[in-house]
Amino acid sequence: MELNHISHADLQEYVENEVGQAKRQIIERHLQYCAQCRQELAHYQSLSTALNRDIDLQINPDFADIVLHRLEANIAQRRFGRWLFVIAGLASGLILLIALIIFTRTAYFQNLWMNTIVTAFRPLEKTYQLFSELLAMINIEPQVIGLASVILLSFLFMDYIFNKHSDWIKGLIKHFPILC
Amino acid sequence: MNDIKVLIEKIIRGDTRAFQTIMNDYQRLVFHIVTRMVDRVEDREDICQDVFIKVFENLSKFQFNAKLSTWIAQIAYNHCLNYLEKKRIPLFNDLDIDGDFEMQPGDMISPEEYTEQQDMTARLQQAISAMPIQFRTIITLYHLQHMTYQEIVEITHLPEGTVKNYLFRARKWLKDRLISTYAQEDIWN
Repeated sequence: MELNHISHADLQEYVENEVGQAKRQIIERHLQYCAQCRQELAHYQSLSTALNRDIDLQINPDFADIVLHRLEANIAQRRFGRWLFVIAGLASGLILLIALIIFTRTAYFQNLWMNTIVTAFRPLEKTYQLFSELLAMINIEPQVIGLASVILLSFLFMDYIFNKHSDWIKGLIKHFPILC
Repeated sequence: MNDIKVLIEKIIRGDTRAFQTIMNDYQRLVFHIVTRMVDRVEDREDICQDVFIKVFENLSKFQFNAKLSTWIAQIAYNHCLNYLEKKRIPLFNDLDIDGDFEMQPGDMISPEEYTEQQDMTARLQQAISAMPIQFRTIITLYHLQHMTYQEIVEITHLPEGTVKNYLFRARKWLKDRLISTYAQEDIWN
């Protein structure tokens, strides 16, 4: 007889209206003559009603205000961080530019600089010449390209340091993942 | 749906006041999940705050493929999982949830406690708090939030069969525990 009782899983599904028509009929037929299953069903029905009853959560009435305050503080901090990023980028660019000027204008450094370039870039000498000619043709001083490169590299460096990609770097990463 | 889209767009643009509507609508959902998953009362509010901050910061990633409630519940659930992992609290305790329920010496309640726990809700809450965390969470999502199995699957990333199995075992365990702890005629009053 024990085997013929309705399983706990089926009783629960019956309570939660999750059984199909055919199964429902079998369960209801069984319940008509089985007091034990009727009692189990009553327990599950009461349990389900109790579980559906909401609980007292004791939410702090100022909860939303506290979260909003934290959010506004976070936004302000992020804005400050973005400005800091721009200022730091420009400052490092400026420092590098000054260093570059000193490096290229001073006689000692000029020789060192030229020797290094010549040694390091000897294989690329022809490309460098072509590049210089091209720049001369479009009337752009190599220093302008140098300055732009230095500023770009400074921004990339600061972006890496802060580990917070700005929108244009996000775009760069998205479109040129290999390059980045 | 359109209202929610407009609201979300406002929030993404940085309108923190518009976010208050989201908080009002989903505060109980988040508190239900956190209350059931985190036992330390003093940590619960901080966790709920963190959940809403995460929701705000990630709202631009919401794809409208799922219901917003499911997405927020998923964030709350994952945040609680991280908290439990950090505190080294297991999702399943040593409780024998499969075996027939037997009264443990510590489960016997004194007449004073019995009087205090006349209320069925209090008895049920006490029994639920003794269950493994995973069972409590699923019971909460199903019964208090009236979520479907599919929604619970999306939140917990458990297979549907497992969700159903946990739910059945949890209900049976709760019923057996309440019957064993209280006099049968007084259980559901």
